Amino acid sequence: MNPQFEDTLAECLEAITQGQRTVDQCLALYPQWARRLEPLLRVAVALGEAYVAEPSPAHEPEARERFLAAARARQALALGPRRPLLAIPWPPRLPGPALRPALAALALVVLVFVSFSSFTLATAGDALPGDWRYPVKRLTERARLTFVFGEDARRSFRIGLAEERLQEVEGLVSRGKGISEPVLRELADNTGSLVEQLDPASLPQDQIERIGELTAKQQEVLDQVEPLVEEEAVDELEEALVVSSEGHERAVQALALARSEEEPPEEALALTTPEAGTPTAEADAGASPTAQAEPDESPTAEASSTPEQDVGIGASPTPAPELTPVPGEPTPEPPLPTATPSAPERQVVFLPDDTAAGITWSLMTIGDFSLRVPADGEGDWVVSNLTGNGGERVFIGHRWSIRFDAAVVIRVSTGKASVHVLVGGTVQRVPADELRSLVPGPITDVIFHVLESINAGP
Amino acid sequence: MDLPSPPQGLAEDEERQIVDCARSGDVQALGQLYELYFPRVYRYVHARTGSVAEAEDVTEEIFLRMLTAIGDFQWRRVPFAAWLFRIARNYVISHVRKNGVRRNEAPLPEFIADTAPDPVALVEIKLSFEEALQAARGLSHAQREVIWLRFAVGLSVSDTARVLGKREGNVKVLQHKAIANLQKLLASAESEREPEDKRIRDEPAV
Repeated sequence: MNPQFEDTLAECLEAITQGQRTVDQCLALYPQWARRLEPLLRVAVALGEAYVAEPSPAHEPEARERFLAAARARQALALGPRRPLLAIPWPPRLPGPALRPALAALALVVLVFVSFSSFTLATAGDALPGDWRYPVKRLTERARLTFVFGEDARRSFRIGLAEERLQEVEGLVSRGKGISEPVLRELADNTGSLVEQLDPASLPQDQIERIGELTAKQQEVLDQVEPLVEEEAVDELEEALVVSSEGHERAVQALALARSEEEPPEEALALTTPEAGTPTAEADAGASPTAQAEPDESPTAEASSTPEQDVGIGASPTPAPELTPVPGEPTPEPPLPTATPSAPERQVVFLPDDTAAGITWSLMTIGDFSLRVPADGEGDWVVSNLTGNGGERVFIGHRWSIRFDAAVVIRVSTGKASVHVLVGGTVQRVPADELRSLVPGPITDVIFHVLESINAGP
Repeated sequence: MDLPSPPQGLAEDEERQIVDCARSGDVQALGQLYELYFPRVYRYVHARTGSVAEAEDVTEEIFLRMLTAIGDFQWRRVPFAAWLFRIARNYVISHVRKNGVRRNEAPLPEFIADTAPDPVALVEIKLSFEEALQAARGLSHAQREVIWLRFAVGLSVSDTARVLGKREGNVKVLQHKAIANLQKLLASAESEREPEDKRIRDEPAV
């Protein structure tokens, strides 16, 4: 699933539903997605038309009259005299001597109840859904949260709760118990609310990392639980997987962004191009990729000096990755870079002749900056624009199954790039010359094509 | 060819005023709400049950429930439409659990062959209600829920998410998957019909 496409489809359907646009107007507005959008929009329109239904002519006035009669009756009741629901004498009267043994028995019952409750509270921590102590466990969690103060501490506590929910699913799996709808819904809801808060500007790095690890682990666990998922919970399983996948994607982007921002020294940046750092309108407008890509300045040669670093650990807090959809306004010609870098215009133009590395390509220009990115139809590749302390970045990630296995982040202001791959379950920054040994050839070819195209113009 | 627009009728503040009056028991305001929402609630129930008689009964019951609950409605939680369709959804689910879905006596017709030359393009696709009902059966429950609220009722993605207790992003994903699945179902039904149509065409006229 491509979030940008989801958003565009949803926006078009909303506009059509509200009568603000026709299908054809939507297609004209998003020419780069027109082929994918058209059949979906037409099916949706046909579906909406098919659902138009009216009750039988005699029914509607009769039903309306019955409804209004009920409303009038309710109004009449509401206006009638009111009496107190309970008349409690105050001060309460103490029981007489005859009732004192009963009072003592009641006190004993209360004592036994309190003792039992203490035992339940002490042992409820390892309870699983379906266990009679489980509601006590959840109640205790809520009570503990009430006494956690400070935004960071509360968020950390919530991450812990999401981790606990995942451990419960694992516990159910290890005991061969069925996974029910509420269990999966709870898991998805907890994760979703954490992902929504995924804001590196205020989130400590270790919490982003924990969310990234949590979502990765969730996907592993959820992939294996299907046989135990109850029939009516299949949709919740799918939803939980979607939430985990999206959450992991955002966490990886946030970590990659943070890591790429904390590399101020020139030599620490993985890859640069000849024009990197000094994009000018004159140079870009007339340049060709072959003219700029000198052998001794190839990405591989430069990248060999880059130390390997773990993207997920120790980066300084940075603003949230703002996942801005890349609008593809129709443009007959590839645009020339603008001369006003303070207000960069962003455009994406499909390049039908470029089939490098076996995929289709588009040219993205942001003011003076340009690079080639996998075209929208390349479902395995995700292209996002991220905004952080160091300005705008372009994130290009390859999705392998339900997670990213390779990504490149390019800083728009300088054209410098860093490459990140999934190694041993964590996302790590690597020199480009190690890329071929870590991910399959075609993926590496795509990343190199991106790197070679940075500020190389159309 | 556009999606049928939901009854827009009122601006947000006008609706707010009516709802506030209805909360205090104003019969006229309640009547206005009924008129405003009856077609959408009816369409929703009809899409879910597939039966006119059932849709009429259930819709009436939903409005009676709305009457009972409207005093507790609070703006800060959800918009009125989302609140009402939560009631509608809960009631239909409980109704179906208790009574089961009355299946149509006659078997549902197969998909009508699209006359467009390219079935994938679906340029002039037309679906009858029965075809839409049958197609929805090929979707997952969550996808069907989204389709009913988005295309039978015309709720926004945001309100649909509130009714279903999901995030907007999930609703968008489910919406996309549902329509893509419907597209495949239609194309597959079309391709199944093609050989039969061809055979009929090739047979000599008697």
